[in-house]
Amino acid sequence: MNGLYIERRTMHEGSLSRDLAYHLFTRQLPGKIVVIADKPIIMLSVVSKQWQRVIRVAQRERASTLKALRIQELTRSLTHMQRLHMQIHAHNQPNETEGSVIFMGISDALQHPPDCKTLYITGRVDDETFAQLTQHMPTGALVVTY
Amino acid sequence: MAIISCPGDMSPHVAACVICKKEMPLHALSAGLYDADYHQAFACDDHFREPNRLIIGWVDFVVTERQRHLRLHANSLLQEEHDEWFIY
Repeated sequence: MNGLYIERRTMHEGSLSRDLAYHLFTRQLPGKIVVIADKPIIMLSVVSKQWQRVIRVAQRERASTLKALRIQELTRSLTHMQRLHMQIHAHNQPNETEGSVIFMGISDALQHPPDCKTLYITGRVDDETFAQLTQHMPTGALVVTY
Repeated sequence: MAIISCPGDMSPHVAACVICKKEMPLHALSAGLYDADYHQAFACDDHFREPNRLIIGWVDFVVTERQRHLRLHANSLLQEEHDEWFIY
C-alpha cells in the first residue's frame, strides 16, 4: 500500500459516475484503468453516458478556442477519448489492453486482483480487502476511492 | 478530501496545481497525468466544479509537457523516443 497514491473523492455536485468520468479524463493516458463496483454492468453504462458528456464538453472547448496548439491537443485527446474502450472484465479476454477501462465486481476483483495504473473503488472496503485488491499494482499507481 | 496517501519517500506535503499554479496541500489536490519527467502531476480538487476549466487546464498542461519532453530529448535521433511520452 505504501507505494501507491491513494485519493479519496467526495461528491461536489452531481453523481459518482459524473465525477468518475471527469477524473478518468485526467487519468486517461497513464496505462490500464480498472473500476470496481457492486454492479459493474450498471456502472459501465452510466460512466459511458457521462463519458460522452465529457467528450461533448471537450468538443465545445475545441470549437471555441483560437489557440492552435490547444486545438491540436484537444483533437488528439478527443480522438483518444472516442476510441477509449470500456468493457466488463472477462477471464482470459485478450483485448484487455493498455487503453481499456475494465469494470469488475468486487468478488471478481478479489479473485483476479488488477494490475493497473489507476484503480477506482466505488464502494466501501475494509483495509484487508483494500490490500488484496491493490496487491498487484505497480509503485506510483493511483487508487481512487469513493 | 482528495490525496490521503503517497508513495513513502516520494511524498511531498504540498504540490502545485497544474491548472491555477497555486501551491496546495495534498489533501486539496487530485492526481492526474504525469509530467515530462514521469512525475505525478496534480490539480486542485475544486476544479472538478468547473468542467471546462478542468479540461482546458489539463490539455494546456499536456501541450507544455509535450514541448518540454521534445526539448529534453532534442538530441535523440530516434523519433520513437520523442513520441514515447503521451502517445494517444
